[in-house]
Amino acid sequence: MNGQPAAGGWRAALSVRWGHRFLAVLKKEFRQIGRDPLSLGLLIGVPSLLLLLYGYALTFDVKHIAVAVLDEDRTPASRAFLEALLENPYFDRTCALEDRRKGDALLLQGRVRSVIVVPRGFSTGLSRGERVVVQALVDGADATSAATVEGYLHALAERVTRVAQERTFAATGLAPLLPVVLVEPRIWFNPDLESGKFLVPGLIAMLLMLSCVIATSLSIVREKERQTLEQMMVSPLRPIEFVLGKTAPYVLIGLVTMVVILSVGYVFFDVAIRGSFLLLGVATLLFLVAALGMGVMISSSTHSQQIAFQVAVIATILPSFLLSGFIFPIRNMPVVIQAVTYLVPPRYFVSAIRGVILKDATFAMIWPNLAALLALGVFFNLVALRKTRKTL
Amino acid sequence: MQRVRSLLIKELTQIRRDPRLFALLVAAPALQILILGYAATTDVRDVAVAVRDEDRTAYSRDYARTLGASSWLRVSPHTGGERADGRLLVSGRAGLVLVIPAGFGADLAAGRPATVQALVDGSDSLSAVQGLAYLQGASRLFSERQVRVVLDRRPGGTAGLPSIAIATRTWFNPMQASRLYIVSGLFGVLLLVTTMVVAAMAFVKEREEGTMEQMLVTPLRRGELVAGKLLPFVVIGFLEVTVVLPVMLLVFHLPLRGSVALLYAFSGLFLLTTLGLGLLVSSLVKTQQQAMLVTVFFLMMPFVMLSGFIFPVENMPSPIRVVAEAIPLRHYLIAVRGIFLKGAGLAELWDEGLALLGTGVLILTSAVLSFHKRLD
Repeated sequence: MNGQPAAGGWRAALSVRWGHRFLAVLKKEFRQIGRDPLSLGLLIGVPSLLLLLYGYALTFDVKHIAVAVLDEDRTPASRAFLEALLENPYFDRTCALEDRRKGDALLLQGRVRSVIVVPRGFSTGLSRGERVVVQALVDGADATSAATVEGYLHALAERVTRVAQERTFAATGLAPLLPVVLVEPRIWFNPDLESGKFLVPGLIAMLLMLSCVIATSLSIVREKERQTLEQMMVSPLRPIEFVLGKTAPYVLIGLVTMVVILSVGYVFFDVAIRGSFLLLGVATLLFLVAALGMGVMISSSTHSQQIAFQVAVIATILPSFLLSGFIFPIRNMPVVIQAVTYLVPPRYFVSAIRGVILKDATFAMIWPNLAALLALGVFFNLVALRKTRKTL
Repeated sequence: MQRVRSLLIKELTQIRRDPRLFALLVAAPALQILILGYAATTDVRDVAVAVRDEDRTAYSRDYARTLGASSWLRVSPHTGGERADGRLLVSGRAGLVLVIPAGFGADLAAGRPATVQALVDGSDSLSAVQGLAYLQGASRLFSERQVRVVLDRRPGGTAGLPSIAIATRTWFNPMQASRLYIVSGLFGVLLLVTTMVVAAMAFVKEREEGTMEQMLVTPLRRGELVAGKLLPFVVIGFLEVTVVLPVMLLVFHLPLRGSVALLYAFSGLFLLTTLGLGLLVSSLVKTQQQAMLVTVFFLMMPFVMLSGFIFPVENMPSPIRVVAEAIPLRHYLIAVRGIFLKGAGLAELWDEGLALLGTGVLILTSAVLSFHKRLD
């Protein structure tokens, strides 16, 4: 900007020039992206493909748990109990044991998840009206599955108990009912508790995050390495135009990806959007700005593509998987770690799109997430700008 | 051998000249395991339960108190009526809304079963299932007490009532801390993530920077080139294991029940596969960005998701299980968890070792074969 433009016109001239130069960068970026159709195709297609794969593959539902049984009682009652306990889709009785030591070995090798021991005297105890204890050894290495196994066992044992008790009551001529509290669950938003519905929004956030950061984290540092950045330096281009020109094309690509990925979620996993499309669009846009901003920030702060790649991988894959609330509830984390999660954009996006897609949440319910995304986006882009200005 | 040695010296000098990369490679995993290890727990605690008591009798209050005594549930009353149920769930302020209907106390007093309604937020199915299980457990406790009361009142004294209890004993991880399981998994995942990146960049970086030409005019054979690139990263990998190991033992109190030597041996085999895959990608792609895309989307993500790191492989559909068995990280994680948590030795883990060795050899051979001494 040399010379003093005429008083009234300079603002207009500036915006014209600004727009013009920004468009030029945009055009250059689009051309560059177009020259590598493989990468473009991968960026748009792969997230949907992976959603398809993982949505199909991943589940927390534990079924067909391999169980070994040691029946020391060998009576009709013990056999009936084991049948009631194990004849369902949750457990597979893989072998009947003769002695305890064999069970220990099976657990160690991981051949079974649990060994159930019905003690001698089981049936006599029951007929005498006593409390009999059945032992279950559970492989606790995978604590989540172990907790589920225990839950099933307790619930099934309770059912058998109630039948036995009601039979006793009936035999003694008393009312066959007992004063017990029955919990009748009604599950909202995801009535069949399909892990798919729960996982899809989280997977979307993770996949989008990865593709945004992959798309941008090498962009500036590559120009540094190839020294094409010098050409930018001698052009009248300003850092802000440069940074925005680098991100804008990918915002568009990201939106296209989102549409494709949501269609896959709807068609294959029955994840319909209950809430407002507009709100979902706004959330996505803000998330893209933050995620891309993070990529550009990494790119402008590093000096080689190798380091940028390493930093990008460290900053995205595991954090967006483990610190986003996708799988591990954030409120269960230690306070310090909770503070770290505030810097992870998917954290807000997962919560926002879960709300909009599954629960029909309104703006009033998710605005803190949107505000946080906006703040992060502005922050990341400002840092990127500052770093770029220094280099330029 | 002489030629590999000079290449090794060149590679090591390059790594040393870039202290930032070196620091990133060795220090970042330790830092990451600290943060992620603390974050990663599927143990659901403090499920927020909002109780809408329409009964308001001594029975219903006693029931709510029993629930509150469970250390897993955080019970609070809510008086907003039916409308508020939905709002509490949608906003996520409650994970469970429990409705105790009018007549609850009357039913129990008359010795009839009473039903309560639990509205559950199923959008977070893991917490939902757990929360419901805690609720059932607490209700069972309350029921048992009620049954006792009725029995004691019954004419004819306190004749016993048969019941079956399950006494569970948990092996290997008696506190059932999911943290132990996940931290031991993180150990493998971090090793994968850091080493694969450097390997994936190895050749394509030289290609992009134009230094490949110089390598190609040397008398180095392709096997020697691959070996020279591989070895320094193996050293870095072992360094990483050595830095992360104390963090796992001292900070997370992971028991190391098996042998350290075996852990290193398995890590070495695993490194052959991750580095081999990285080099394979590196020799196939044209730009570093493509290398990044391919490794992140087609190697790291599937490895992390399908290896049993978090999602149990046993629950996956059978075609996916076949894929999972082909993933080196899967076998490495079984070995690492076996060594740490179960004290497993070579007798239990030899098949995992064989699987890793087999895939490692296969991958490295293809890396060598796919690397052409050409410029394009």
